[in-house]
Amino acid sequence: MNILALDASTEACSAAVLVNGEVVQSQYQVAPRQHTQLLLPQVDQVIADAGLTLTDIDLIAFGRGPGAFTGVRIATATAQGLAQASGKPLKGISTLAALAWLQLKNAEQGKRVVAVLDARMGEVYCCAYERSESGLQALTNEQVCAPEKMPEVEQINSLVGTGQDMQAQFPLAYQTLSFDCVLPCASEIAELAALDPVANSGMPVYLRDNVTD
Amino acid sequence: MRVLGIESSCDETGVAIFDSEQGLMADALFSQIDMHALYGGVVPELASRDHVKRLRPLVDQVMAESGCTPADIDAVAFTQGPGLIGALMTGACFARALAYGWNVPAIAVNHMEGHLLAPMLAPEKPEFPFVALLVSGGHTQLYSVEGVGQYELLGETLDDAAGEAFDKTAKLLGLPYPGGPHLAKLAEQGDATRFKFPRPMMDRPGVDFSFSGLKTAVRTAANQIEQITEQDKADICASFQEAMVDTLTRKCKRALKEAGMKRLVVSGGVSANIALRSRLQKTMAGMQGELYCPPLSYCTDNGAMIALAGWHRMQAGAQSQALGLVVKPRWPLKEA
Repeated sequence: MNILALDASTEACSAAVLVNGEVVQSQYQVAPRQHTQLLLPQVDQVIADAGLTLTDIDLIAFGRGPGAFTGVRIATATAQGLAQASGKPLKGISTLAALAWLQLKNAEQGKRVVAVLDARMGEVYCCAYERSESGLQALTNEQVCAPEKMPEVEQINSLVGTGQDMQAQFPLAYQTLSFDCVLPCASEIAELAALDPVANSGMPVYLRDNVTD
Repeated sequence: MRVLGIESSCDETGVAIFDSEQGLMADALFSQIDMHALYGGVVPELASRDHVKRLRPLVDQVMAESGCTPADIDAVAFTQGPGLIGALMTGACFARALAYGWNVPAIAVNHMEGHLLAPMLAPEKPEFPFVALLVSGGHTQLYSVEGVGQYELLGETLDDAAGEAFDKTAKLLGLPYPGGPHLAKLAEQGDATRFKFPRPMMDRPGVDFSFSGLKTAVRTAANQIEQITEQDKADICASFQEAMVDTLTRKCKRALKEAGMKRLVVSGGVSANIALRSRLQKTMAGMQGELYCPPLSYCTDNGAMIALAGWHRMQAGAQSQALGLVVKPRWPLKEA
């Protein structure tokens, strides 16, 4: 199975191609406010470098959020356009899950992390995950909340994502954990899509829905 | 040649297919008006969120309606600006990826050029050159148009756009959102001679507009009435519309004289106003000139005008946008 994945949910912008369970090509660039200029060229590049064309792709996966609203929509609209043109199925993947997978894919079963993204306005997007036998298991709902209000899950090994400057306000047990500061990448989105290659609605998930103030 | 056009600059998602021989083959629109009505105006983030839900179903709809397969589409045209940045990005990224997947050119269109060319969707199409009045909630501009891409700005509003003045006046009188059409409806039952509202900038040379004073005059008039009745409101609406129509008509006449032309094109949301259309019709007849307006359903934002403008741009030699693109929230027509 060939999977194309793309993401623009944070300052990073990325695309990857996965063939038979392995990411064979990826592009990743940190470039705030340049995603509309970079994303589709990255997609074109990874497909070409993999020796494929869009018609060879079996599933199009994208970072469906949470993250920066505009970035999430750039990835979603681009993925939708590709899916519309090619008739290929579309799958939105959680950006928090992509962060957790980066930490847990090579970890032993039972390891736990909390994926965090700075949601601005003094809040974080967060979700706790555990390495399961076959992949990734969410332990909480994804949520947007004040750092103090993060749901506390036992036996968390580390934190991953952004928002480290708010760590002192996290629940006590989280304050001393190591924090791996990384941004989501299309490679993990492709791998997660490969673990469960069933299409979904292909729509963004913002978590923050009160946007009219 | 067949062009699929995508419009997403504000609160309407529009997709259409234009064929250079057959004309418009299919046209689909989703308006967000009801959603924004709750807030009394367009909420940009909600607009963007909605576009991302509508694009694919609308493309499916026009493909099915026209009987086209992807192989029948020769280009994808999209609104690159001006408009709300998030809304523009959503439609532009979708359109660019769609064109990439279909392996056809992606043609960037200026939204105002779409409006300007929209009268060519009518059975009787204007020929170049002409004077164009673009009149909407965001713009009030007069252009001398020699051909596609040859636009000389003759004059524009110095403050509120005409449509904005309609909407603000309607809001002041407590009419539902969006106010312009409601105001025009109520004006039908009013006495247009009861209030003498100002015709701003009429005593000055040139064809610039100013509508903020007119809005203030309406507020003053409304405040002077102790217990405002429905008839008072209708009279204010009628008098306001009369001032607006009179001002726009006289400036058009002046612009036509300055440009030495006899063809007038009126487009944009306010061009759906029946009182304005009939006054301009009369005026043009009196000058032995001709008036061209879009079909009523193409006065407001739509995908058809973007598909049409995209085709015209290709005829004029426009090339495909690069895979990496930018949108232009501010993009004067004269720079298009």
